[in-house]
Amino acid sequence: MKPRSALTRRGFLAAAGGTMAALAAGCGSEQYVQAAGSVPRQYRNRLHLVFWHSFGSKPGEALTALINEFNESQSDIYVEGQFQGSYEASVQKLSAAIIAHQIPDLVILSEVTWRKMHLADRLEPLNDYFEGDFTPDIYLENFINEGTVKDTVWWIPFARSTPLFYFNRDVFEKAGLPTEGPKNWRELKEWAPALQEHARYTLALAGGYASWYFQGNVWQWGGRYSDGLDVTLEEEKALEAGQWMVDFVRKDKAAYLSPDASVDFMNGVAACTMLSTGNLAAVSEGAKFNVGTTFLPEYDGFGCPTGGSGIGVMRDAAPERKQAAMEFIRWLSQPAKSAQWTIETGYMPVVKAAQQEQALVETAEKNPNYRTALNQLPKTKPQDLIRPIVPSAGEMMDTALQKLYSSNESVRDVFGRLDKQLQRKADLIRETYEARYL
Amino acid sequence: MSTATTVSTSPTTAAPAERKPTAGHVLGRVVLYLLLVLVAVVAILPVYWLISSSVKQSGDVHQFPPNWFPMPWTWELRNYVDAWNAAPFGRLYINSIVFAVVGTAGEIAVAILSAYAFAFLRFPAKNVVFMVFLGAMMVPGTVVLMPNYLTVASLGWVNSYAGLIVPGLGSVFAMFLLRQHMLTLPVEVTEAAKVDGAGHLRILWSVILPMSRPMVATVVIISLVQRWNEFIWPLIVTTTDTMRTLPVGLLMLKSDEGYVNYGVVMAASVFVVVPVLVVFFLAQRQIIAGLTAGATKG
Repeated sequence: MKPRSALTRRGFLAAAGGTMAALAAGCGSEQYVQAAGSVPRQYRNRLHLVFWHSFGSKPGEALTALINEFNESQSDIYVEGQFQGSYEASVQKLSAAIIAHQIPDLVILSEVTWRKMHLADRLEPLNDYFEGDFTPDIYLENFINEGTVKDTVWWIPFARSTPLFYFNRDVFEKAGLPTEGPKNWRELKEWAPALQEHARYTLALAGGYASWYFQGNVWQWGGRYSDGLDVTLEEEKALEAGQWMVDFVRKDKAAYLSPDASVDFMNGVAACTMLSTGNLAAVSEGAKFNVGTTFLPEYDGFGCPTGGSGIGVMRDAAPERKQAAMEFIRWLSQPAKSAQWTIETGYMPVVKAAQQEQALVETAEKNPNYRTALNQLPKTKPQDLIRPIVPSAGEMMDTALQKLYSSNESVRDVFGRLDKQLQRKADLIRETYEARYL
Repeated sequence: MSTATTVSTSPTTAAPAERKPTAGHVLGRVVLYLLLVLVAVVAILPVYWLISSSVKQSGDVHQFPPNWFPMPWTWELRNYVDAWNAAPFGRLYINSIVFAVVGTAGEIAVAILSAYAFAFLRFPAKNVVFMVFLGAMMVPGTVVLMPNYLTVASLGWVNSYAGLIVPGLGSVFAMFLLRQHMLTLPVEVTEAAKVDGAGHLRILWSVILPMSRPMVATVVIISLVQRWNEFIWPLIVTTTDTMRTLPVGLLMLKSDEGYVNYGVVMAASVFVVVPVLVVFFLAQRQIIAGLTAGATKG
């Protein structure tokens, strides 16, 4: 018995050793291959593109419809859309895929995650792919400039959104207040007591993405999150913006941290809230009252950030696939298709000419709230760099704001701590940043 | 000298059923049952909420105060149709079943064999190896996610059944439970079998396994349910819908910004939960037996 089991053991160990060697050899190769996918029979003879995206539910259906339309409209390329989870989950999978050398050809990247890929130098520079009437100018300046660094386009806008100020028209009417909503924060503060006779709170503050919404506030007070990579949270204007909101929560008892701002707003718990333009369809349907929207309130000026996602092409994909990817993006950027995407999802139209498309004009006419987002669009600008570019900056800032909205800590303390945290992390990537941006 | 043989006996020898219940007993019973009902309600509440929400119209799920008893005429059964169509549930079911059944079968086979080895075989550094395995149990799953993914990718197993199933086959937890159980089995039976000339495999199959049935059943149930609900690994290792499992499929009904119809999400969740409930009802005797196996000796 003993000799037999020893032989079997030795044999097993030899086989295991062989497998390890094979694995090591596999890891050493530099070749990038396309990520796994499947192609239906009728498309087998075409060039196969793998497109990773983060759209489920309604936007997912809209995107699948667009992809199918593209596949049927020509016979050279087959685009396979693969849902990979949220923006954050998708970029984690992408990072793993890059290390494993099995990558998709084009990916949906959010306004935060695209910078991560850009810093890592994994995105294809797209300038040379534009030709004829397919130029960066067809896109809204705000959007295409956000994806442009050192005059090179890295990221094409696709599903962009902005925050919007939502308010309960019925409550405003009952309180005898103007039904166009507040123009600035001072007005809202004055109106708060009247509003709170008909709703428990005036303003629901969202916990998730709190720092995205607050970006507008910081600008409205004349401050900024950062100047490039230098964090400016400890400057007076930023502190004042924070203090005003904190007072609105603690002294006026008019605002509060909500676990789900859209739900509380729809239930009439809060008279107003700030949400993404992407929530418009859901809120309009779920609310049992007249929903009003207006621009973000001003203070010493106007401020509103952009958000959402766009498309990046992977640098390490095969050249013919990158070319085909841009063909697909070109197709998506036709005014009619951009308008179609906007109508079905509520994301902003990224192509200038899309705003004149008949279908979109009619939709905006039927639903005036739609028009609000479009009208606010020219006044928006990309976020201060610190939030998108530093890893996990968004989460850290959200946590700090949630703390301010729900505890008694002072703005100076919380922002001071956050400033140091962010600056520390920013300094870690400073070298890469300067190489890629300056 | 007549011995009393009348039926009206003293209380000490009467059967309990004939004893008149005292007020204290009744009260005690009532309190006990009330408590049990309360615990049962708390336990079943999430499942009740799931099912009642799945028939609500969109937006009503968020209503506050919550609508606990949606009336049958308001039921939105369309949610189930929409849920089924929102993701390829037929395919997702098949994948989940394959993943759960084949994965569990493989895991149990490996666990039984290795448990037997650690319980009954003698080989050099056995205790060291066992300690190393135990140490592996302490490593958080997230830490090995990336290395596992890289290994699976270099083997070309991304988005395949092999990639889904193989990495989970070596379960130290299952092996540990079985080994501990095998050690409690009487040594005499094993020795008797050895004297009769049985080899290790024979002993395992004919002696050890029959005596370990409750423990094996427990491990099978735990493994099956855990695999059915497994989310992170299938999310990472699969890229197309044809290979995904049910929990990952649920994700497709949600969207980062904007519209989520929670009635439909609840209906889809019912699809995921029902098979587990069915298995539990069918196997509950085994589960209870397995869970209470160590409670009394013998």
